[in-house]
Amino acid sequence: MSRKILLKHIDVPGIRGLKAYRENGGYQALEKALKSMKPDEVTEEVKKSGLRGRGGAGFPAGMKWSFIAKPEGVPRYLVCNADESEPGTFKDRYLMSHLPHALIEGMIVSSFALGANTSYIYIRGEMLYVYHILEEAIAEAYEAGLLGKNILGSGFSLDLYVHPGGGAYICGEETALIESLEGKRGNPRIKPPFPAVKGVWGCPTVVNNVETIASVPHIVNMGGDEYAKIGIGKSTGTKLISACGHINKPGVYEIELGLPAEEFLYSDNYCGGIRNGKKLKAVVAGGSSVPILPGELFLKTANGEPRLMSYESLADGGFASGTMLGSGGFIVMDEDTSIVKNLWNFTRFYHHESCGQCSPCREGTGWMEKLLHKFLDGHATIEDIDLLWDIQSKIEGKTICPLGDAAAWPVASAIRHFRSEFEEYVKNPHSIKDVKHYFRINNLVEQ
Amino acid sequence: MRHKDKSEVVFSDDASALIAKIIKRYPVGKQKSAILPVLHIAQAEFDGWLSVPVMDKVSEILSIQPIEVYEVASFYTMFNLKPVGKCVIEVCRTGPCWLMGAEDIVKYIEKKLNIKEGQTSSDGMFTLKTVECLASCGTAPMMQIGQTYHENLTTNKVDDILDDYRNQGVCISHFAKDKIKA
Amino acid sequence: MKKTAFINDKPYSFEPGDTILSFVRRYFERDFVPTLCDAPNLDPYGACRVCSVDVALVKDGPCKAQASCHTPVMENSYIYTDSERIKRLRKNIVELVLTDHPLDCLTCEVNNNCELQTVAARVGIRDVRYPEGKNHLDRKKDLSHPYMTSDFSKCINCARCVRACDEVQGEMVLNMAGRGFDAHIIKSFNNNFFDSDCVSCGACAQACPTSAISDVFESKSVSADKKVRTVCTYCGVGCNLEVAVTNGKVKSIQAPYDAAVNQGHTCLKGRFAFSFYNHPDRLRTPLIRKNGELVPATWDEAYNYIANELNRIKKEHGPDAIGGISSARCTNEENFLMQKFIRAVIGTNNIDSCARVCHSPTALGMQRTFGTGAATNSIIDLKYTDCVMVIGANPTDAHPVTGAKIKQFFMKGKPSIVIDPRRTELARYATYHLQLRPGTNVALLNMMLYYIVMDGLEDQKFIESRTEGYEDFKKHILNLDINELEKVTGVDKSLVRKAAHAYATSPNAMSFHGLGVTEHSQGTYTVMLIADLAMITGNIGRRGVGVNPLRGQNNVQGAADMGCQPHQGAGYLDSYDPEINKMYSAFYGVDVPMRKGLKIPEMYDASLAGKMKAMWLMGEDNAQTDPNTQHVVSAFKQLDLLVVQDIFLSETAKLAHVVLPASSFLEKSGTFTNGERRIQRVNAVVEPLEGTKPDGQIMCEIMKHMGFNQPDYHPGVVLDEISRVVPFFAGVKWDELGENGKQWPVKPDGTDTEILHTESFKLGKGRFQTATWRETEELKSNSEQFPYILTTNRELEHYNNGTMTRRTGNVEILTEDVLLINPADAQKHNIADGDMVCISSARGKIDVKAKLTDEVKSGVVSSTFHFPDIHMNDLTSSVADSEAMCPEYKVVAVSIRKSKGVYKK
Repeated sequence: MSRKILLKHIDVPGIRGLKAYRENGGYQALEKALKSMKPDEVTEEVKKSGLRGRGGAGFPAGMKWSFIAKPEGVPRYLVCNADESEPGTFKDRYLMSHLPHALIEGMIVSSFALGANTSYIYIRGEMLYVYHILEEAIAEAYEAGLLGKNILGSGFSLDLYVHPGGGAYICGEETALIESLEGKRGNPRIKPPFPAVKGVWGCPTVVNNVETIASVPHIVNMGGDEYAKIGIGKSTGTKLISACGHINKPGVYEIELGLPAEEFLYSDNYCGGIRNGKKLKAVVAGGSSVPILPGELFLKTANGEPRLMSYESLADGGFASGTMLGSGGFIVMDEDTSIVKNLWNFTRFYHHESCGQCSPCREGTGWMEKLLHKFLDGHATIEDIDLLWDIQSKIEGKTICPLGDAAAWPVASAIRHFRSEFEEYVKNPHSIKDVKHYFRINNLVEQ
Repeated sequence: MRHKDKSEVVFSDDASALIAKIIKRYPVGKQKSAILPVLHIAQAEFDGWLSVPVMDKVSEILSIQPIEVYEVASFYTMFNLKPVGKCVIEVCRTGPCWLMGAEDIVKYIEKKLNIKEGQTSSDGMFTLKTVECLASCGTAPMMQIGQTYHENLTTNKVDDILDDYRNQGVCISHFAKDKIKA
Repeated sequence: MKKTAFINDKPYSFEPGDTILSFVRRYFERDFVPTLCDAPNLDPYGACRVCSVDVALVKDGPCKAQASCHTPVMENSYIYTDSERIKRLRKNIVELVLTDHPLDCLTCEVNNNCELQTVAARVGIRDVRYPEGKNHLDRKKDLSHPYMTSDFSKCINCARCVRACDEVQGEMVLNMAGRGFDAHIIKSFNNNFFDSDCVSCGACAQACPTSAISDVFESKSVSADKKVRTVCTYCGVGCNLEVAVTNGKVKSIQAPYDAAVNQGHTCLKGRFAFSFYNHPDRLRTPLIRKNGELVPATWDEAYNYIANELNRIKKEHGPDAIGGISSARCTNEENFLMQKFIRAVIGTNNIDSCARVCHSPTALGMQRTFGTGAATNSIIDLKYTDCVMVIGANPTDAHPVTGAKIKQFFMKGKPSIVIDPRRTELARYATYHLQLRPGTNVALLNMMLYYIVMDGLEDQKFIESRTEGYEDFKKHILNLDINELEKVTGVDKSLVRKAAHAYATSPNAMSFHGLGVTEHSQGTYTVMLIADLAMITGNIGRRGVGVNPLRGQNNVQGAADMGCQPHQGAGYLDSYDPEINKMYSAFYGVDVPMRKGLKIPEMYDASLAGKMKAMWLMGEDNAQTDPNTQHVVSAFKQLDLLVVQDIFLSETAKLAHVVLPASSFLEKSGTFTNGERRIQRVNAVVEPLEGTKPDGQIMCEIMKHMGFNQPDYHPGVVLDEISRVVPFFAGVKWDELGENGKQWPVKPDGTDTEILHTESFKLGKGRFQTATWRETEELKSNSEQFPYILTTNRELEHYNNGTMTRRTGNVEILTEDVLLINPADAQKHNIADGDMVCISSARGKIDVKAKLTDEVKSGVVSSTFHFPDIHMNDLTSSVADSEAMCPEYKVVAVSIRKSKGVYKK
């Protein structure tokens, strides 16, 4: 279960440049697609591969492509969502900064499949150094005739541009990203119409995550059927997991979907277990938005089955006892971690990042943050736990975009699995303060 | 204030050429799309923040209403709408970094520079900001100064880094100054 | 087959495109589903989520909460509007909103008319469960503006104001800044209303569900005793207004959402500029000139004086020594009575109206080509058109509500053409701005026609089946010297060609024109060419096309319809035709004359020649507004009797022998006909100011005083009389006009007409008419000595010569007339921005402040005449349209220099 596809050549010296990338099989998929395939055939292979959106929602990529409207005379656009900002997630930045051409090749092949002649990579503004890396790689690709007019003599032309954001988590939501690309505030749009019909500048648009697009050349190379054999069930292929928190070996790992969760957490090939010999308390398996699970529920499902790193297994048990694979932002918390304080931090984050359009989210995230602060200050009552539950339930699924859900799920799951900790804050505020509920203080001051 | 009104705002030739190049990336008539990259360049050109005259100039360049620039600039956290120090320190405060002690890093810098979060040191050298997740969770705690990610921070590391910047004494913005060449 | 969905388990059919909310509202009260961010004239926004309902795809299936305002109805879905879950959700949302809203309802200006308050009550809020915390209650009020106010502590971030500003007005002054909890409304950057670019249309205040944005008249408060719907008296758009009255006085004005004309929108003139109506300057008693002074008199004294004088003059000089000028500001009924008085009581055809100085060429030009001198289509057609051409009109200033709609069209990026010497607001948004030299409309339109013919873009089918005279017309067009025309107009011919292609190749193209077309020596010819353009491209007779004059005054259409011109009586019937004369005589019960009557400029000439002895002016200030002021004033001074009916002592009234105090539009009832032929009811809002009488009543009383059998004044009675003589008013009845009126022709059964010429023209076939460009006499004679061209225009804040608007808060917003001058020209004469400039023409000279702008090309200067102190019409000439005698306000040869002795203020 250690098959590497996306990161196979990550350690090759100079792989960031076009020369090394090509020497290691780069742009073969592009040649194959442009010279021997029709656009729809590429889409068909992606469909067969079972590739699912790697940004978090896990929607089948081939199906998303097949929805794109094709009205006569109207340009279509592919936009890469490189606005990686889900807390705990840093795989796309890693991929783009080390393997820019992997994304560029994916963009060209995918644009070919969709019939897009202008495409954009919307990258987080904070990652402007990666923006420059991509700009340089794109310039190389133009130079080599891999971008621009009549690519490789195929008659297909593509202009590819990088577009920097300005600092807004919400722009990771595809319609907010489109608004932002149009030079507006990142307010998500009401749907319908969906981007596949009316996206950027009113034209049909597909928005895909970096990792999703970077997977496409590999699917073209090996064929969709072959790709579908990797992984487990409907969780096909490999997935980049960015692991962080209280583990020995934080970093980005490419795993074959279906890897046992326990192996991922404890094996030295991956996270290498909990730091400082501490015990596992909880895991947020797919970026800060997904429900938090107590350690034991992360390792084994409610039925006692071993949990696997796959879309289905992580979701086993629904929200009662399961979670989601999400973006692959894997956050581990050890036994000293205060769930309430951590939740306060996450909620503060969502409050800060709410665009402000929908009243439940704009006001609700703020009140959740204030209530959580009450717990930390020792002024909360038992009723406040129910009030907190009530507010989150009025946000979830009640807003234009999923930021509302993302803000609600951590609250709901924390109360569901760690209610006693909230009660402890109410009953014994002082004792908790004494045990340094302001988290484990790292040994930041070097001796 | 450096500029009284937009007529006094003059981009360097390199910046103007780069802006012209960026505008061409979007369909004709959709030049408003260039607003975020142009604001990044403007911030790099004019002391790391966006004054009203600078934003008005951007609206003129993009042929849009000034208010369309204000509403956008105030939405995105990377744009500073008040003057900042020569060097803006942005410490990640979100969950994963914070699990690893980001709060202590912030407190340490506050004490070191004798400022609070959001303030600029009295010598005008440093502004301290806290920001949300910068996708560097595996190397937490971390902070960004200009383009550079400073990761796996400790207090000693912070000392060294800030000393370096103080010695260089340069104005730091997200958009690399040396990349402003069309 | 109608599709069905279930509301609370009962089946109902829905229409394609229905959202859940529009579907529910089809069958239930508007507030059946509560909403906060929804507004009748705005697109769905989906942000407040108060409109959430439960939706199950199958009966008893799992429910999902959906925002009803933007979620399409699914066939056979089950919608539950008030499930317990939904009730709790709504309550929670409103509770959250209230945590950041001051709870001072009882002292709030919108108490009992606050949508937040209503929704809070509706969802059963008793208390707010959330602890105190950070809020925005300390935000400061903005009281900087004469009309607009804001108190953003009351803001609930529904963005209705922002959307109203964008979607309704298209001004983009208001916007949301910041993000999330810090999201807040801005008026440009940290600015107040007064210093922002706000055009004070008030759409945001009306859209705001609370009192976060309001106006100084507190138009959303419920304190009014009553609300009366009437029609605005300013421009020809004809906005419906809802006027609130307290203690017999006008309190505030709002725009009804269900108004067909303005859909809840209006401009600062309609909404806010009403305080003139009870201004201390209002005339409150008749005045008679005695020993050179105007002194107060009773109505009887005034009537007796007038009747005696008129009878004497009639006896001594004959009826043709008397003339009347009716007013496009007055109602149809009043205009009808005025022309009836002149024709039937005095016995002359010397009747004209101010349509002479604005749209008489439109009426004539369109009559010659189509047979009917009125807009062929309706404003609503802007929704259906693919290309809009605006010629010589500046509707965002002069017809703001229609202007906003056209601007919305322009902003969508569809093909749009502006033909105007000035870079008007619309020109800035237009695909093609053909910035021609003033006075060359005919040349430019000929260029467009030339390219349409040359490039084979004619609609052959339409030309063959619906028109005549095309072959000759084509020959004429092909003989044009396109390079010469390019030189004359100063517009690049390739640009003209592109514009011609855009107009000719769009599936539906619509044209609008204004006084920049008519107020020229070749005004009528220009109108004919606009009609030619529509015919040659087949853009007549269906939705989204046509020739659409933008009428300057509220009732220009009506004044002409009612017969206030010498050659045509009520209903445009030929007053010189013996058969028709018999019909009119029988109808009025007296012999009416067939002798030719005089048009306004001819009346002045007749007076100066000693042939005209008496004139009666209803609501006109010709001494201010007609061109070549000195000429007009001398004409009035020659008269034995000048009677002026007005609400103020105007410059003209000051010259009168008798002044009669009239009532304003807020004090009278009747009908106005707007620019799209819509006859709408004007309803008296307050009692006439003491001492004043409605113009119609004055007319009836003088008619009776002079022995004519005229019933007492009632608009319904007069309208009934009109419907019996004006063919296209046949089915118009006072009680059946409803709130949105009817568009003429109205058939006897009451059905009205949105679009003219759908099957055939009034003339049978449309007639192509040629026109050859000629330089105006004014420039030919004077341009050597006076090398610049002055063209006059309008600003949004003021109306005409400002009699009304200068007596309102508008004067605080726009304080003076300025001269627009190109910086290159200014430099030549050492003129700086703000300097006083002396402008001279062959008639006179005036001083006005310079404003340097590239809105005008070098060689052209432009100004307004809203402020009489400037005396702009001292400069304008007596040159007029060769066909309709409409004066040429738009081309005046002038010279400019920096004024001596008067420097920058």
